[in-house]
Formats: sequence, C-alpha cells, structure tokens
Amino acid sequence: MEIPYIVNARKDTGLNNSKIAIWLFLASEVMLFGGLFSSYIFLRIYADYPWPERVLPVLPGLVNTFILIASSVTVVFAWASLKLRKWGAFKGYMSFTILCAAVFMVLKGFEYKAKLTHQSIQYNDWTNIEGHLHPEDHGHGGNFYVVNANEINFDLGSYYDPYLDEITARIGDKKATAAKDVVLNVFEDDKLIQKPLIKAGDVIDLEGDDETEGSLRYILAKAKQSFIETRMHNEQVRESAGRQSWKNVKSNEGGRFNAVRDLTQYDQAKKDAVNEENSLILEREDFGTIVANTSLFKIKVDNALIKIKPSWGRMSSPKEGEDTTISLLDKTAIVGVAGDSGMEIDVDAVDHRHLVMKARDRKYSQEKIDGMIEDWYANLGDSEGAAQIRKLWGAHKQWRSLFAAKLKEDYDLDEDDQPNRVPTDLDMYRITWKQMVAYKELDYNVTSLEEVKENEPGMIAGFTGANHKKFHDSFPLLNVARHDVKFESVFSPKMNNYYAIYFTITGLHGLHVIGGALVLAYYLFFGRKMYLANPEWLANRVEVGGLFWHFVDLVWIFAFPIFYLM
Amino acid sequence: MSADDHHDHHNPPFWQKYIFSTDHKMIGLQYGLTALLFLLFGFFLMMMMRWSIAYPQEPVPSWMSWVFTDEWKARWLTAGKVEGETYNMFGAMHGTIMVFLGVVPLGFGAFGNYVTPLQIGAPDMAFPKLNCASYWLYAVGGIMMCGSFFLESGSAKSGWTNYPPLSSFADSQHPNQFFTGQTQWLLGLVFLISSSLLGSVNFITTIINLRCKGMTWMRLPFLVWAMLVTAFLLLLAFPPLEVAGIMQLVDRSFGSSFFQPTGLYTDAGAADYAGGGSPLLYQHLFWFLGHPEVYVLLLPSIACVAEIIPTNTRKPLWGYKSMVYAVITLGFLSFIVWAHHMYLTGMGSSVSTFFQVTTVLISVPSVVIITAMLISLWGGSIRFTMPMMWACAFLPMFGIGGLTGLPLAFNLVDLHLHDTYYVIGHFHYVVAPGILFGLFAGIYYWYPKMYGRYMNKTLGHLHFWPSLIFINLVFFPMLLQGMAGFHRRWYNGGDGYLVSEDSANVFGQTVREWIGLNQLMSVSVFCLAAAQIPFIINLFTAWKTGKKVENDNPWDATTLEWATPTPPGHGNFTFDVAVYRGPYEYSRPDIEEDFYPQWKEPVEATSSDLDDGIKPKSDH
Amino acid sequence: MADSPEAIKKSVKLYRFIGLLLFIFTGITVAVATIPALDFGGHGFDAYDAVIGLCIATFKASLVAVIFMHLNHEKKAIYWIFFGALFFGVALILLFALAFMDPITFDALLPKGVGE
Repeated sequence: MEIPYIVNARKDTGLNNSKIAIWLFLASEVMLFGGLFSSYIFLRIYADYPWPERVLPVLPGLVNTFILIASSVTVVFAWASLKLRKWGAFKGYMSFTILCAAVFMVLKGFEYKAKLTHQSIQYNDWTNIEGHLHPEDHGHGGNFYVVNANEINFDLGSYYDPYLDEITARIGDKKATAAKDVVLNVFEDDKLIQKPLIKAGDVIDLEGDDETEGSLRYILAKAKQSFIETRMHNEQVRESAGRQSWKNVKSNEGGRFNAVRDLTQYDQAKKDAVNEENSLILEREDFGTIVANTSLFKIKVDNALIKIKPSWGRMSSPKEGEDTTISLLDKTAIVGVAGDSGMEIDVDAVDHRHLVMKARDRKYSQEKIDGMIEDWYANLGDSEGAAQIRKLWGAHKQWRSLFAAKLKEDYDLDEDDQPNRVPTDLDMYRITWKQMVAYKELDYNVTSLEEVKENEPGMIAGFTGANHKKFHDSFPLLNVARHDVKFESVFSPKMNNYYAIYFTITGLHGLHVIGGALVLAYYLFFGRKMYLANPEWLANRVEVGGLFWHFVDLVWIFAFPIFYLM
Repeated sequence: MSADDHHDHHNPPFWQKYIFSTDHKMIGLQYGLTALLFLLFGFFLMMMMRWSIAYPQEPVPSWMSWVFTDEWKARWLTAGKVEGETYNMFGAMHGTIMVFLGVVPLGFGAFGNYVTPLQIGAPDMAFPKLNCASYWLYAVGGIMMCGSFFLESGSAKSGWTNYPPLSSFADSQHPNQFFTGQTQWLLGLVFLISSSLLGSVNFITTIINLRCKGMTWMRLPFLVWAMLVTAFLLLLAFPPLEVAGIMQLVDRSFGSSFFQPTGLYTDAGAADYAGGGSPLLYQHLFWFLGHPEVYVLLLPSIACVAEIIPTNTRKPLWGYKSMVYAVITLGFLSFIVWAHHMYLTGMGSSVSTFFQVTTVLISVPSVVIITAMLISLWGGSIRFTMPMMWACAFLPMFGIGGLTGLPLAFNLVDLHLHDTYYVIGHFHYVVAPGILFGLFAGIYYWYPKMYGRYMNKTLGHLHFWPSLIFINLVFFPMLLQGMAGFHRRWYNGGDGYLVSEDSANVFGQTVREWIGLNQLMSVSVFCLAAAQIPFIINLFTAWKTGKKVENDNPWDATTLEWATPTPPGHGNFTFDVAVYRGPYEYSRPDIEEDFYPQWKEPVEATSSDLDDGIKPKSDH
Repeated sequence: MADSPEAIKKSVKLYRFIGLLLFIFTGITVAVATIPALDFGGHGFDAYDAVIGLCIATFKASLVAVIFMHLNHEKKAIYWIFFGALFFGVALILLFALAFMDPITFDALLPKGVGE
C-alpha cells in the first residue's frame, strides 16, 4: 500500500500532502500566537500597575531580529539551491540557518539569565527598587526568612523530604529533643498494639536516614506509617458503623425517608443514624473502636538559626526580635524568634511610578505625592547606601527639571500655553541604572543634560542590563528589612504580568526555534538519501520546513517591537 | 518512492499491529475502546456523585466503594460518605473525562478514523505515523489526568472548566507543584490538544487530497463533511485553550499572575502574587474553545445518524446540500458565540446583545440539520434495525436538548437559570441521550464492517429500551429542579437547606418541594448503569458469536466503506476505486435494486457519471 | 509557478532584495522608538508609536508571508486555509476588544480620573 501524493501534487488541488498539512499546522499556530498576543493586549489594557514599557535592553533583541531575518533568507536560498540541484550550496545555506538558530538561543539564554538574577523589591508604599542581591555566603545576603527556632512541628500526613533535609542541615548544633511521648499504633489481626517509640526529652539524631533507629527520619517514617494505618482503621470502623446504623434506623422506622413527605421524620432519622453510629462504635463488639490519632510530631531545638526560602512558606511576623512562626507548604511549622530576614541589595534602579499611580487613583494632590516620595527617602535610615540614594534622587530632580525645560524649549507651547511635550512618568519617577552611573560621575550635581548623556554607559556596556561588574560603585547598597517589603521577586514571570507574558511568548517562540532547527538539521544531515532518491522530494520537505521557519520569524517580527520597543 | 516501503509487509509483529499501529482502522478501534473505557470510568464517578446527592448522610454502598483501596478511602471519604472536596474531584473529572477523553475520541477519533478514509476511497490517512502519535498522545494525556486520583493532592477539583483564581490556588499547599492534580490536569490537557492538533491536520489533509477518483465535494457523504468541519473546529479553537492552559501552568509553577487580580487574600493572608491579572481572560480563552467544543462533540454523532437514516429508510438524505451548507455555517458561527457562557461575569448590554444574537442565530443551522433528518424519515420504508432504533431516539432527545438551550441564550432568563440544574439538564440532554445515542447507533451500524458479524439484537433491545427510559428519568427532573433554583454544585443535593419543618429560610421550602426528585434520578442512574451491561456483553461476545454478515454490504448501503472486504485489510480497497454518483442514491426508479452504490459502474456511462473529479470544480 | 531554473535564479535575487528590505525596516522601527528626534506624537511612548511600530511589523510580516512563504503564487486551498486562520485570528483579537467596549465594565476598570 502506498499513500498517494506524498511527493507529487494532486492535479485538482495542485498540492502534495505535506504542503497542505504544514499550512493547516500554521493556521493552528496563528491561533496559538493570536491567543497569546490578544492576552498581551488584554493584560496591558487591564493592567492596574505601571506597564514596564521600553525597559528591556534593545540591542540583544535587535541582534536576534537580524539573525532570524538572515536565517529566513538563507532557508529560502537552501530551498532554491535544491531546486537548482546544487547540493553543496544547500548544505552551506542550511548550516548557516541552523547556526543562526543556535546563536539566537544563546543570546536568549544570556537575556534570560540577566533577568533571573535581577531582583525587584516593592516597599509597602509601592516604591520599587531593583538590583542585585548579595549572595548567601556574603554575610547575611541571600533572600531568606530567618528564625531562631525553639520548636519544629512536623505534619505526619504531608511532610516533604527536601524541606526536612534543608531544615536539619540548617540546625547548627545538630541537637534536638522530642517534645512529647510518641506511641505507635500497630494493627495485627485487627487488634491494636501500642508500642512506645520515643519519650519526651529523648535526644533525636538529625542526620541518620530512615533506617537508622533513633534518627529523626526514622521516627517520622514510623510515626507516619502509624498515622496512616490508624486513619485507615478509624475510617473502616466508621464506615461499617455508618452502614449498620442506617440499616438499623431504617428497619426501626420503616423504609427510606423522604424529606418531601415528612421532614421531621427525615430530620429524626438523620439524628438517629448519627447516634446509632456512635453507640455502635462505643459498643466495640463488631466494629472495633476509634483509635486516637494525631498528625503532629513536635521536636524542640535549642535556638537554632534556620533560614528558609520565602517561596517555601510564610512567616507570620518578620520583624526582628518578635515571636514568629514560619509555616511551610508541607504544613511544617518552625516556631521561634525572628532573626534578621533583610535583603542586602545593590540598587540599580528606583521606581516610584507605582506609588504615583496608586496615589493618583486616590486623587492625592501633586504636593502630597511628592511628599510621599520624599518620605520614602527620609525613612531609608542612615547607612552609607541610603545617603548615596538620597544624593541620586537630588541629582535626578535636577535632571528632570532640566529635561522638562529642554522639551519646552524644543517643542514650544500649544495654544493653551501648555507645553507640547512633557516628561513622562518614566522620566519623572524612575532613576535608571545608566542615570545612576552618570550622576555618580558628575558627583551628583547635574547642570546640563549633555553631561549626563555623555557619562551614560553605551549599549555594549549594558548589553543585557545593568553592568554591576564595571560600575559597582555607582550602585548604592541597601539592607531592606523584611517587614518593609510588600512583594519581592526576581525578574521572573512572578514579578508582574509584563514579564510573565514576555517569558511565555518568547519561551514558546524559543521552543519553536529549537523544534524548527531540529527539523532543518534532520534534512541537512539525513537528507542525502532522500536527495539521491528524488531531489524534488527533499526540495518539497525543505520548503515545508522553511515555511515553518518563516512563521517563527514572523512571530518574532511582532514580538520584538511589542516587548522591546513599546 | 517512499522510504517506508520496506515497512509495508503483511504480517507485522504484534506491537506494530495492535499497539503502535499506523493503520487507520486499528487506530480507530484503539480510540473507540479507550474512549469507551473512559466513558465507563466517567459514568462511575457520576454514580458516586449521584449517591452523595440523593443519600448525603449514608455511606457509599459496598458495591461501589469496593473499587477504592482502604488508604484512598481513609483519605477521601468520611465515614464512607462522599464529602465536598471529594465530590468536587469527581465532578471535575467526570466533566473532563466525558468531554475530552470519552465523547470526542469516540466520535471524532474512532468513527472519524475508521470510517472517513473508507468513505472517501483512500488507502489510509495521509500521515499514518502522525495518526499513531495522535492516539498515543491522547492515551498519555488521559492517563496523566486520571492518574492524579492517586496523588496526595487528589485530582483536579475546580470543575471541568478550571476557572481561576479557584484553580490557581487549588493544591497550592503542596510543596511539589508538579505532582498535584491541577498541574497534571493542565499537562494532560496540553497532551490532548497536541493529539487533536495532529489528528485534525491529518483529517483535513486526507479529505482534501486523498479523495478517490470521481469523489467530488458534493459527492462526499455527510459524515465526511461533518468530520471536515469538526477537524477545522479542533484545529482553530483548541489553540486558545492551549494558551489558557499554558498560562495557568505558568501561574502555578512560576508564580505569575495572569489570572490573579490585585489584592487576593487566602485563608493564610495576602496571596503572594503580583496581581494585575484577570480571571476573565481565562474565561474568554476557555470558552473560545468551549463553545466550538460542543460542536466537536455533536457533529460526529449527527454524522453517524445522517449515514444511518438514509440506509434504513431506503431513500436519499433529504436536503443533502442544505445540510452541508448548514454544517459549514454551524462551524463558522460556533466561533462567535462563546460569551453566552459568561453572561454573569458582569459584561454590559452591548456585548451580551451581540452574543445573544449570534447564539440565537446558531440555532438556525442546527434546526436545518435536524429538520432535514426528520423529513428524511417521511415516506421511507423504515427498517427498524438496531442502529436505526438509536438513530430514531437521537432525533427527539437531541431536540429536547437543543430546545431547552434556547432560554439559556437570552441573558435575562440566564440570570435565573445560570449554574442551576437546568443547565445540567440541558447540556446532558444534548450529550447523553443525544450525542451518545448517535454514537451507539454508529457502533451498531459499523460493527458488522469492523468484525464481519452483527451485534446481537436481543441484547441490543435490552440495552436500548432501558437506556431510553432511564436516561429521561435522570435528566428530565433536572430541568424541573433547575427552574426551582437547585444549584449545580451542591454535593449533598440541597440537604443542607432542610433545617426544619418551619424553617425561616424560604429557599429551604422550595428545596423541600423538589428534593425528592434526587432519589428518583439517582436510582435511575443505577438502573441506567445496569442497562449498559448488555451492551458490554454484546460488544465483546458478538465478536466471536454474532451472526455472520452475508456479504460485504450487509445493510445494502451506498457509501464506499461497504465496498471493502470485511473487515477491510491493510490498504482498504481490493479494486481500483472510483465513484460515479452522489452518496445517497436509494430507491432510484431507473434502477432495479433499491440502492445504487457510489462505486457501481453505470450500465450506460453518461458524461456526468464519468466526471473524474480531478478536474477543477468550475469545469462542470 | 517558479519551478524552472531560470525562474528560481530570478527569485533568488528577489529574496535577497526582500531580506535587505527587512533589515532596513528593522532599523527604522528601532530608530523611531529610540531616537528622540524621530519620536512621533507626544514625548515618550504613546499610541502613535504603537501604531507606527505595529504598521512596520505588519509590513515586514507581509513581506515574509508573501515572498518567502510564496503566498504570491499559491494554490486556492492554501489561500482558504491561510485567510480562514487569519480571519479567526484577527476575530480572536478584535472580539477581546469588543469586551472592552462595554460601557459598564470598562469604565469601572479604568484608573480613576481617566475618561471623566
């Protein structure tokens, strides 16, 4: 059996199968990216926060655009070479196309890495700062909830091993004692045997695995098994008692109950059944009895300094020195006194636009808004970094008034005597990293716009964003107390929906690039056989692969301006 | 010259013939069997739910609860009773399984795969390997979704629609997000969408390019048209759902807030989300698929019935062309009605008026199709064969389903009926006694072609009559309850409102008046389950013991699938297949027999009969 | 159809020219977004810039679709599929816009003070 029209076109449609299929596939892709781009519009129109427009460094995106266009040209050249039966030229063009794909993905990787190592912190007053967190090994760097723990509660039903490993590794003196007696319930032939496992005050070995007797993992594993078995036993008891009780109630009171006919009787039956169930359980004859069961296992530790990643749970009160509880996702609770959970950050941008937007929503006057911004600077404390950041703000205020004046001069006033062009909120309320570098060079005294322009780093120095290596001293160091933080995130999808849709669309686009490159590479490396059998066959396949590749280019043609330029 | 030639031998090994088969008929059967298993599982979940609704205080009886392990029961049942969260789990998975894993694969996957290439005279699908991949993606997606019942988090429990922010927070207390029911549901969905994408590309290519000689567009059997439209719906409507699924996955795994508005609080305090997203966005994307999906369910079933009716009335399908145009219109309109699922989201009058108009408009092509099929019965010499019984039941049942939908199209009425049992009753009338009856008809109709034996008629009647009676007893009371205001998501069927005789709660009085129907419906469900036993027995025994077919065309039908050997071998046709006339030439006065198959060469060839179909359409 | 070697050779020149056009228009789109003197509308990003950016992108995309993807000489079935998908794709985007045209919901969503 042979499927017709694999290579040659059918006469009436003029098409071979693959050509139809790829266009159908692209139609589906149009809907996929149509959905994504309309989501972008939707999210942007609905956004109740300042949309981060024109924040990405343009150069990597621009280079990637050129790369994709070039590869799009070479892929049609590769196809044309096959049509002209030039195998060597085909190999050359196709290799270049695949090389372009590889370079595209590498650049994409650099962009992603720069974002995922860049931190944003939102203060409680909606002021945002951005920068690089100090690494964990750097004093109290990193991003952690810190607690001096006294006791730890594990939930036997749900404790999660990676969390357990992290917690035990953090307990410096490796000392812990049991807080309560633990008794295991063992059911042998439906009879309950209780075996003591550990007594209150017993020392627990934190390091052994679940085979080592007396170790925490061993105790947890045993207690968990006992917890689950007891739960199973209790459910069996209750289920059979429930069945029997309804049987009894029905035979006592005659048949099923119908709430429509007699609500009182139905109500009574419900109550009777519950009573019957309870008494059946208490009688203990046929059904056994309910066995006391707890899912909690508590250990005491001696003021152990424990650090937990914020994504693992919540901290009830992060202010240093207060009693606090960290509740992890697996229901483990770490109880103790809050340590310093602050974040040390080299600030490379300060952004008040969210604050301004919220204040305008509440119809605050401009004076009040300016006052709120000044308050933020005033409350930063008296560290060196805080002083530097206040100087930056002073310089920025000089810059923005110069800038407003220049716009007025260049573009004049309109008929209502209002300036034709005014600085945007972006100019007014955001200090960018390039400005920080320039202000520092000018010693925080801005007297002309040109000076700032000259001292700003160029496109290459800031290829993927703020260059902390080269301009380290320009960026003030702040220690942000955890209780001042409203929301923090790296520049990941979590930070806001701009980055979320950016990562989603470019990520899916990247997957398409990889997929397309794999298909084209297949034709390059394994197409020779096809070419020798029937050159037209390979040409058709390369045309189909090329169509997909052009579509990938087409998506990027839209993605580039909307993410990098708008 | 295909590189695949050396694969083309006649006795492939077991795994190639039955497991990773590339033959469209085997894949069709795989789809069918898997889908029937999923339907059975979905039905079981529904029985558990119905028990909880009718007897919320009583433990699930042992003839149902034996399925579960003790550990599972200890985790998810309370004293043997189904509680809210477990009920939600069953509810979400019942909907998902029935729609994505049951009905679509049975209608589109099984009948589409088995019958379409045969009816257009193709040796196989255009891309047999893609076809195989399509089935396996579906199987993996289905297993992922259902496997999540055994996870610590349980399966998805936010309804089959998975609306955020409810679904975004579902299972969020689990440290390992990957192994939670909601995440698995979304991943499974991505698999299913990939499967249907490959499937639909394959179908459309096959129908466009692999039609045999003489098979012009207007000679295509209606089933092929319906499959073509269905494939286009799948192709273009599923990607927006994929977008929604991917975005929800990103929300769950990377903490983004696509669907999380600003200022969300959970029981643990302020949610750790940036906010600024919109749950409405999800609903738009979901229902952009959701409504075409209804027609993806419906069209294959209508297609089966449209094949069965002419064969068993011995007269042509009435208004074949208008049916074709109607089905195309239906497909087109189904893309622009989605927001009628969202009248209660606070959309204003201008938008809801638009969607109200399109929704009412879409009933026109549906009515054209159903009317054409009804008129086809008129004056026919009807053979009440087993498939015809089901097809005849399909017409009124689908009619009830469709007509009860009309009030829901009007947003004023929808204010009252939204999220009540009326909605449940309406769409179940469409899907269960409607679509599923049509698909049962298809099974009874093509079984002789698949296995060379008829299905047993006695068992067939034992299946049909109780099913017809009990399915109405299940769904008709729902319409009544719904109009009285019964909410569709009560896990205890309204039991909580029965406080006492002189309850001050007015609603409690209404509930009391109608709650008795719960038990009627639930008992009917259990009877309905019993009524499926003859079918299961029939399906598996007829394969060996059924009455053998007399020839390759046992129903005296006219379409091409009956020109193949029984069962059709690899490559389908044993002669050089060509088509000379339209698909439903029954009882032509100039022909001796009462049917004139498409493939039968005319005695005196006329120029119109010999139209080879290769020429452009404008040529004739 | 461009199948003869001569026609192919001729179209290779066209491809080269289109490639060049794409490079140039990419440059233009970046220039209008980053050089203040070329900033249309008000200062900074606004609707004018969005329209210009999207128009250039659409033009570039059309070049790719028409020339590189051979839509300038394609079979009827492909046009059906392509324009069908385009229609629904655009409808998908426009109908979301329709949801915004709603006077009740949209006003409530706008930041306070806008549109009053």
